This record gives sequence, structure tokens and C-alpha cells, in this order.
Amino acid sequence: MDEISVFSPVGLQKVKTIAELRECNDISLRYGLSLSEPQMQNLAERHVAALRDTGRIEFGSGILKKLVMQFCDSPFIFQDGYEDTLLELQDAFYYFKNESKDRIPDDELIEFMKQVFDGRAQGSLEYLCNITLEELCRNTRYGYAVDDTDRNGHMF
Amino acid sequence: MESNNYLAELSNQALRDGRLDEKDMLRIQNELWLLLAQQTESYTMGDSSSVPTETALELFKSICFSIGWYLQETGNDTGLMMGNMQDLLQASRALLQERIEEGKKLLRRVAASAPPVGSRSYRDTLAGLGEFFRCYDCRFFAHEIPGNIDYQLNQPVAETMGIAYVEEYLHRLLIENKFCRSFQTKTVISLLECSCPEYRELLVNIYEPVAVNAVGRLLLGKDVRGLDISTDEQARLADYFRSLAQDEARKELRSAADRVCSELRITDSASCAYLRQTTLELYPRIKTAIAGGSLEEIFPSLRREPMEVAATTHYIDGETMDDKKLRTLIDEINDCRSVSDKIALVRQQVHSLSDLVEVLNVCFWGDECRQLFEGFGETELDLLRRYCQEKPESWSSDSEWEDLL
Repeated sequence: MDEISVFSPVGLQKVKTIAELRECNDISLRYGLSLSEPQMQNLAERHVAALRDTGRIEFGSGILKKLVMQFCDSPFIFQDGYEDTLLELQDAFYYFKNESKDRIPDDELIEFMKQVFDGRAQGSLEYLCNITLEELCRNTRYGYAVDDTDRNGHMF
Repeated sequence: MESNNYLAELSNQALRDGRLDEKDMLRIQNELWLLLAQQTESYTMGDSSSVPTETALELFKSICFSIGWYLQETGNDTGLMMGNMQDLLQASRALLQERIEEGKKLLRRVAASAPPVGSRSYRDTLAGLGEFFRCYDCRFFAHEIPGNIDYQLNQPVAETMGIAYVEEYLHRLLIENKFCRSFQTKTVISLLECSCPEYRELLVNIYEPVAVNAVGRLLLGKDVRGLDISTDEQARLADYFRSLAQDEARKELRSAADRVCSELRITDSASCAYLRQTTLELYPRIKTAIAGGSLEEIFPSLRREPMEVAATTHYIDGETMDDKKLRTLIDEINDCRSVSDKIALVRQQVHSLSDLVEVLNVCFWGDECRQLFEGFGETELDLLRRYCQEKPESWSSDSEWEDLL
């Protein structure tokens, strides 16, 4: 009974994720963004893969809904790359969740991702993932808060 | 509790017996999964929808342990078939809390009856047991055993988890304490010094040599409280055991254990059974020792010349700073203008090797290290050298202070 993955209703989780993404479409459409059924299916599958690759288990509402709700009003996300952006954000989210040793709550981490994505990163996922968040996560280990700044007033 | 996962064993057994069917198993698994989700949410306080697999696994083990332990303790196997997992977990928590309180009382009794013979591992284990009760988290990690419990019992506790292990460990330790308390402390110390001169520093059980010599003296027809067995008496015991067949010897040992309990006015059945078990386990050792020619190692004499003990050096690290304090100190040292100020801060505030290493890694560079080391004694430098030796060959610090040792 120690093998909890045996009980993990992965199929149910996928169905739930797709249902949540479908609901999100109503809101993201206001910003000209929507996901097709195959895209939702793909995101749900990659969601499971991202969890597996980062060695995590998720319960309840998945993170995709929160990512969509937070990022759909970004001026740097367009319908063309919407699915790919969500996939990258999802992968990055779990990676940095591990990197920060779970010290940053989901909502705070997503908020920070959005803040930097729209701000200094100017929509660059590469900047967001490779520079800023790593810096943030490294610093959380030393006890800095999300919005702390260094001596020069730069955010960590 | 004999098994690490009674819940799994019980459900598998019930499935084989036909008391549970596949549908029931699915229900149980589903309920356990939901419980895990709830526990995870409570554990992260709603901050995180996901946790690392390792954390989830520990939470899951805790749930299984709590429910399994509860079913076993209450003897209520049918609870698995009838009740739901949520209720069982709640009920197990109430019982766990009760047992924790009882365990604390038991620890106080153990500490009060501890044989004052100066065993370090015993003393450290008492501290470790106190730590267990301070850190034990029956809500999320009921199966874990925080705190160092190193002292070796004569009859080790079978593989159990959480409070079940500690409870049983304390019961056994109390049995051993009560037995040893029947003898004069100085006699016990003499015996321990003869049987293992370094017993104060090593993980040596105190009860075993006392129990064995008490049984030996009873077989010799002497007062068990004396504990001494001379060389002649060792030879008499060897002759005695040589004359007995295996079954007879076991019978005699069992009877001797009971008579020792009677002589020492030990009446509780658990203590008698414990001594009986210890005595019975003695037989293979006696048989081997007789073949080797002497029972000296099994029934040591108090008159034996104590063995010479090689001098050893032990280093116990001082208390490390908490991370926040260490960060502040590192900032302060890095802000110092002169090396002498840096050195003064280290001398004033660093009291442990691990903190010193952290400071050396990021605060002292090149000649600064040399100046700091000039103020160190040979012992301090030797400790740093040993620290470096224990590191992998590829290791090097950021400031490369180790090259200047």
C-alpha cells in the first residue's frame, strides 16, 4: 500500500483538468485567447507528465487553471503561441516549486511569474525561467521575501 | 505491533478470507486517496496544490500506520470492513494522543530508575526520547521516530514505527532498569568495567552482563546479588553445562531465570519473561565458549584485571547558530574594513566548527585566512584539517581556505 501512485486516479485528474480549462476559455476569450479540445487534451497530458518529471503529486484543482486565470490578460500572450506558453509556464512552475523547496505558495509564485513576465521579462519565457525565477528561488532559501529588493532597489 | 504495515496485511488477509471483495478494496483505496488529499491540503495549509512525491509518500505512510495501529490496538479488525477511513483516522489520533501522554509518563519513570553507571549512550538516548516527544507529529508523520535512540536493548524492539516503537522501547528499558536496580550500583559498575572497559563510551547494554552473572551465580548456589563469578566458578559452570544435553540445559536456564526473579522479588510477568528470553539466548554462546575452553567472556569475574584502554579524543561540536543569525553575522563580517575586526567577530560569535566553516567559505579570502589561522591553536587547526579530509577529494571551498591549513 506504500505505492500511492497505484491509487492515483490519473484519468480522473485529466478529465477534471480539461473541464477546468474549458471553463477558463469563457474568461480568456475576453482577451482573445482560447484553447481547442485537442489543445486542452494535450495540456492535461503534459500536466501529468510535468508532475511525473518533477517528482510531484497534485490533489484537487490543478495549477493550469490558476496559470490561465493569471496570465490570460498578459499583453505578451497571443492566440498563436497560447498553448505553448501555458505548457512552458506549467513546466517552469513545477520546476521552480521544487527549486524553492516548496517555500513559495502557489499563488505567490504564479503572481511573481506574471509580474516578471509582464515586467522585466517583457514576455520572454527564457528570461523568466532561466534568470529571474532561479534567482528568486535561490534567495528564498536564504529567507528573502518575494518582493524584497537588494541594496540598489532591484528585486531579487 | 509486529508489522510495519498492519493495514496492508489486514486488508490483504481479509481479501483472501473473502471478508472483503474487490469492490470493498476499491472503496478503501479510494477513501485512502481522499484522505491523502485532505492531509496534503492540511499539511501545506492550502498554500500548495502539489507536494513532492516523497512528502506525499510519508503522509500516506502516516495514514496507513495510524489506521493500522488503531485497528490492532483496539483488536477491531472488522473496523476495516465496516467503518470509513476518515473515522478510523480520527479515532486513531485520539488514541495516539493518549498514548503520547502515557509515553511521557513512562519516560519519566525510566529516567527516574536509570542505573547511574555513567553510560553515555544511555544518557543520550534519554535525551533522544525526550526529543521524540517534543518533535513527534502524530497528525502528519505518525510513523516517524524523531530523536536519536541509540542505546541497545538486550531484547531489541521488532521493526515497528512511531509511538508503537517508542512505547515498547520504554517498556523494555524500564524492565531492564528495574532489574539492574536490584543490585548495588558499585557492583554493577565493577562488572561492566570487567566485561567491557569502555562501556561508558560504547553502545553497550547494561542489563545483559548483570542478568547473565545473576543467573550464573544462582546456578552456583550463591547469592545472586553478588554478581562475581571467580575463575574456579567459571570452570564449575563449564563442567555443569558440559554434563547437560541441550534440552536439559535450556530447561535449567529457564528455571534459573525464574528463580533469579523470585530471589530479587521481581513479580511482574513481563520482567520474568524478558529475563527468561535473555537467559535462553545465552545457551548457544555458552556452548561455543565451552568448546573454546573458557566461560570467562560470558560470566566475567569482578576480580579480573581491567583491560588497558587506549586513549581517544572526542570532539563535540558547539551549538550552531540559527540560519538567520548566521546570515547576519556573515553580512557583518563582510562589512568589516579590517581583518582584525573580522577575526574579532569570529572569535566572539562563532562557537561551532560548522559555523566556522560557513564563515570561512564566504568571508575570509587569501591572506585573511592566514591571519585568522595564526590565531588558532593546533587543536583547532587539526579539527579543520580533519573536516577537509572527510570531504570528497573534488571538494574545494569558494575562498579555498583549506589550502592554507
